[in-house]
Amino acid sequence: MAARGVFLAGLVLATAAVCPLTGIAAAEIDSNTFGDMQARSIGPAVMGGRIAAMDAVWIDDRLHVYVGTATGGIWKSDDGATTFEPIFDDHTMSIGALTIDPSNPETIWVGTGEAWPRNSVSVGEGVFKSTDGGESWKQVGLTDSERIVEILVHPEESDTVYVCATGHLWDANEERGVYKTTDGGENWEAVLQVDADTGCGNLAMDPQEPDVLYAGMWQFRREPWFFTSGGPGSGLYRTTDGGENWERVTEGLPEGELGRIAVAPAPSRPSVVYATVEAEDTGFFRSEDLGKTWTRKAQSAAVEGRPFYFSLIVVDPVDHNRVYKPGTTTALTTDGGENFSTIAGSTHSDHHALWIDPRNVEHLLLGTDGGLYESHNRGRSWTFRNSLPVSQFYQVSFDMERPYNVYGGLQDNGTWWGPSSALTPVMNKHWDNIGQGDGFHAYVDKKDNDIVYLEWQGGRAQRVRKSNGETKDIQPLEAKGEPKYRFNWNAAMHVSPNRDDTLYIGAQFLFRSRDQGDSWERISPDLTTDDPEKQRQGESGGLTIDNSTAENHCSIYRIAEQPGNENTIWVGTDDGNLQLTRDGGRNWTDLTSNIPDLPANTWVTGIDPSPHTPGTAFAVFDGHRTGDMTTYVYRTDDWGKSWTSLVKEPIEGYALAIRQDLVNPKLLFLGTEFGLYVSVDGGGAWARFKGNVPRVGIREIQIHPREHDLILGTHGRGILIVDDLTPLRNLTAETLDAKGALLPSRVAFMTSPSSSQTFNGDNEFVGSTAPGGATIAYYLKKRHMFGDLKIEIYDPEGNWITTLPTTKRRGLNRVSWSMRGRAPKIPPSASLVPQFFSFLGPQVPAGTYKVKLIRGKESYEMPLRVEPHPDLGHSAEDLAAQDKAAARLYALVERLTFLVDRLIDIRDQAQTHRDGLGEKDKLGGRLDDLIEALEKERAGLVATRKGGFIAGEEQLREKLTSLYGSVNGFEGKPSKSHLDYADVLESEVAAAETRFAGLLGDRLPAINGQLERKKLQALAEKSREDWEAEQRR
Amino acid sequence: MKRTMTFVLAILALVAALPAAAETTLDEIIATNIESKGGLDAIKAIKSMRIEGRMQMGPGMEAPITVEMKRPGSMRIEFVIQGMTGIQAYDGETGWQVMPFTGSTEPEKITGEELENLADQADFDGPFVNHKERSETLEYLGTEEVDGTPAHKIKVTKENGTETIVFLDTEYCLEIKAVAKTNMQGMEVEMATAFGDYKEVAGVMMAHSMNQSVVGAQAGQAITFEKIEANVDLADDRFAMPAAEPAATE
Repeated sequence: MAARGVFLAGLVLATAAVCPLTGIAAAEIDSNTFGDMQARSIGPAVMGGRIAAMDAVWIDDRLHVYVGTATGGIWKSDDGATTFEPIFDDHTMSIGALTIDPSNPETIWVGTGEAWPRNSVSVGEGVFKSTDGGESWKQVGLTDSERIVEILVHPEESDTVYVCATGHLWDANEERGVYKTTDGGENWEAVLQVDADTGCGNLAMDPQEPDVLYAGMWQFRREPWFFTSGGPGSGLYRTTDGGENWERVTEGLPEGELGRIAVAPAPSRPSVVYATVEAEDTGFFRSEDLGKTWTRKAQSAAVEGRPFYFSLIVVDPVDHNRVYKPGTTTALTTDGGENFSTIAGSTHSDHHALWIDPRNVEHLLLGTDGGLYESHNRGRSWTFRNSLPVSQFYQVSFDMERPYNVYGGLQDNGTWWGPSSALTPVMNKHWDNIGQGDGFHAYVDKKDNDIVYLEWQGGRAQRVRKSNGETKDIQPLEAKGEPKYRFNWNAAMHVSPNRDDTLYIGAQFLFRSRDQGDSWERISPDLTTDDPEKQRQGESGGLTIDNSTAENHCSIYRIAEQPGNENTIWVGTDDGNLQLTRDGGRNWTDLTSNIPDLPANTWVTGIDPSPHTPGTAFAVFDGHRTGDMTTYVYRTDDWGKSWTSLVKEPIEGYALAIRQDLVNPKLLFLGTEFGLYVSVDGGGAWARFKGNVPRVGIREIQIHPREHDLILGTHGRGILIVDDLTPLRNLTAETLDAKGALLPSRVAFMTSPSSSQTFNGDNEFVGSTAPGGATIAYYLKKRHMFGDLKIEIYDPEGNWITTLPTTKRRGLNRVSWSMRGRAPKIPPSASLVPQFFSFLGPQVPAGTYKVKLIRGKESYEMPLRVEPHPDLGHSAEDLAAQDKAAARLYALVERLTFLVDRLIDIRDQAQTHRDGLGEKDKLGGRLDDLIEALEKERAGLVATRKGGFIAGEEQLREKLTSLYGSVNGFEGKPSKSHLDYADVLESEVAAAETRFAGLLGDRLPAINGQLERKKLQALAEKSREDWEAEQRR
Repeated sequence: MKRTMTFVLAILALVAALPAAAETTLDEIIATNIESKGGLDAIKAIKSMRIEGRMQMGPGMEAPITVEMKRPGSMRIEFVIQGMTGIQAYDGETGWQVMPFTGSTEPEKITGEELENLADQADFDGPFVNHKERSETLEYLGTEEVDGTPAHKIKVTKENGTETIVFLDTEYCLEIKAVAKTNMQGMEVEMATAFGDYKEVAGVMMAHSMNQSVVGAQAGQAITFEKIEANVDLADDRFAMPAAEPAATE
């Protein structure tokens, strides 16, 4: 005790120097409170998401590829684009530019904020730099640039870098234009600026004379209802002194206002420069005098289409007449722009990034709206690299199958459905496509799981039969005398939480169908502001009309029927109206003016009527399309008459979705452009949920009512699932204040692990599946450091079954119990029994078990309910028969093990004596005889031949262990042949025991007599008690 | 016991009265690490160990494991699966193993990176004991949160260039996690090992729990040490590679 005291004192004394003991902190939540609650990704990567930027470098003979995505962060491959890892998850997910320093392949420059500014684009946070190949990042400036399209690093001077800052999309800002640093990003100088409405749309450097640069300056602006590309600020500029002086270039280029300009000199002959220039007469141009004068080349829609979205020219490194122009598809000229043809028809449309291998110009990497492709023949044929889970979901939903399926629509990738879990991890093969174009809402028919209601852009609603693909258009059409229906790009769709037959869709009016969309009833007046100024999408685009429905406005964006009351419906519009009817649509009240501190016309992105309290609802609003990046989150408890803001630190990003938990009304989930936030006290305090949820836009939050899973539709990282919210629901203030606590989890269903073979190589995304076993959750206020932290499981009678190892982290911890006891002890042998379930203990019977968490001297207890899996359908009798048979075989295996262990023990005792005796000792001869007899007997009990199981030797051990595994691996009734064979093997074990007893009985008395005479220890059999004590470890 | 508590409280009061500590240095952190473990004398007094525990390889799959270690750098690990005993051992020079599961009962030499890993594991003291006399280079990288716990981050670089990042909690300066880059089937992966359940053995605080996982992977391997005996008799030939077939099949 004294020693211990001194030790403790020493510990404290030593600790004082550099590790000061801190006081007990108040019980508040932070990201680590959620600890081991981790989301898991189910992809999909069968379709990609938008790739916005890319660069690659050979280091020795290995190709390293960096892929910058529109909303899914940066992914790095160290194996030539076979496998990828995300390397930028703590920062904005929106990437505009990515450049590897040509003289230092470990230095990576990233311009955040995608600059292909479609309606759904995200926002950046300036320039980032890594000097360790992407392992760590530092923000190095231009934080208000919002989007950056190009970064160029001087080929010899690593610290000289140019940034093409495109700037704000939705409002004016100063930090845009061409910036230069000469000290590696410490300081930045704006070397080319036009005005606060004009940014840099493209920038290129002469490959031989790095002081010669070309900049396409671009005036552009997006509003929620309109896009303008072009204006007096746009123009092509060139400098020959590293940005000190710029001249605007006009000779040979279109006159009048210009739009977006792409420019690229030819690496193999830099006097040749190519450009696309958006204008009234957009065209492709070539200069042969370093960009001073220009000549219009072939007119081709393939080159000229949608300049705001496609403004990139890539010239072949060795052939100055070979030019790639990524666009809706990629156009190619091989004669310097005289003629174009399109290539890459097998790839997803909308190409934004193209890398040509400098070592082999046949080798291309292409980034599209649908992911990454690779070509080995200069673009004639392509392989899809389907390992990037960067799919951009809008809304997601689920069904009630087991395992449940998830449905959702994606940016430019249609509508898909796939399972939440599977025999293997969820992979690309599990996903099926059911809708085209851009996908948004998708809901399964509650009465017929084969039917899905979905839509593509502009409210094109469809009813699809999953099993055969049969599709019916069901969009509401204008009745006689009705005005044109206005559907949002992402038109609101909703299924009733109260009735199985009710489907809603929103234009400016709310429509309800009770016959699967075959007919629609209009149940509202125009619920929007109906502002004619915001209904000019037919003129949208600026110099190039671009009316894809993306600018449709004054339309319904969200619909939410009140749980428990089908006549109460909340509706939110894109122009900021929040409307409520409490009589099934006869009367509507606009609640907007009741919401404090909310700017007028702020887009309603989410409404969640409380499933607990009528009159309580949550609403989120998003003003980013007018340049307002504020988070707006409100709660009402009086049917919208008054609202309270729930926004607190550390929430950031414009709000996109909110959900109140189905069980604990204090548990709230909020999705913003920058991740998922959780409150456990009704919005009093929030923390970002970081467990495998990057800072990605969370567009939809669903909670599965049976599995209690949180399902996240992310715009850039596919679908994420947080399994079983039960522990989080029980994270009360009291629990948070305790030093430790066990927390309940959902009922554990017994299933046996199963598997399915795949040999797909490494170039496929592999997601995850729902965890098997029973989950045991516990909370630790602090990391556990000293003494035991373990979990013991006791059966309903109080008998110990097993002890589980634990994790020790601060916050929530989760460990899994297989619902099995320990595996039987199997006799030693020369062969592994290749029956998976022989490695496992028998499954425990259904019942209420006791979980005991031991933390040093403290312990906590909790019941754990184990039930048969409801889908397996085995009767109680069959389950009991299986339990009995498995227990019998378990006991039989151990009976054989006891026999073999005794045999070996006696043999080794004999051998030890034999080794101490002389060659001619008489006793030696008897011992030799005994050893030989024992070995002969052993060879009949266990496999002894070299070569393992491939040698095919099967003795009693192998047969018995294999039978145990067969019975142990199936939940239901064992087959008759299993039971009959158990009888056979049991009699063989009994016979072996008899033989062993006889063998010893014949020999031991004489041997032990002689040993006694020599004053040596007699050979003694181990008792069952002693043997069992040895096994208890 | 009461006297001890009083003493502890007195020390705590003294700590509270001290001015804020100056910049934390690597040497101070390591000194605290050694003191927290029980001091250099106690550490050096342990010449050998036998550890018994369990290794959980997957849900419901576990194996008994025995680790024997002897100064300066000998180790023998045995684990039992289906009654078959696997052995990995290192005697300071030669690493070898018997893996009967695939049919071979002959001892086989371990070479290359695997041998280096084994030698690292066999290192009785690790990089912090008498660190100035050792060949590794240590670099203090400041503090970082490890699963919500603030930790000192120390980079340990071996002579051959391999790096391990060791995290020590800032309260006791004890190891809570180590992350090492290693090669698995030709691919470079980061292997993280979390340490916990510190208990005193012969006057020295030793972690009794290890959770190993590949960074980014869902599942890992948990090893729990149920019994650690210090200064047990271990003959040198337990670590040396046997010439002939060992009694692995019994």
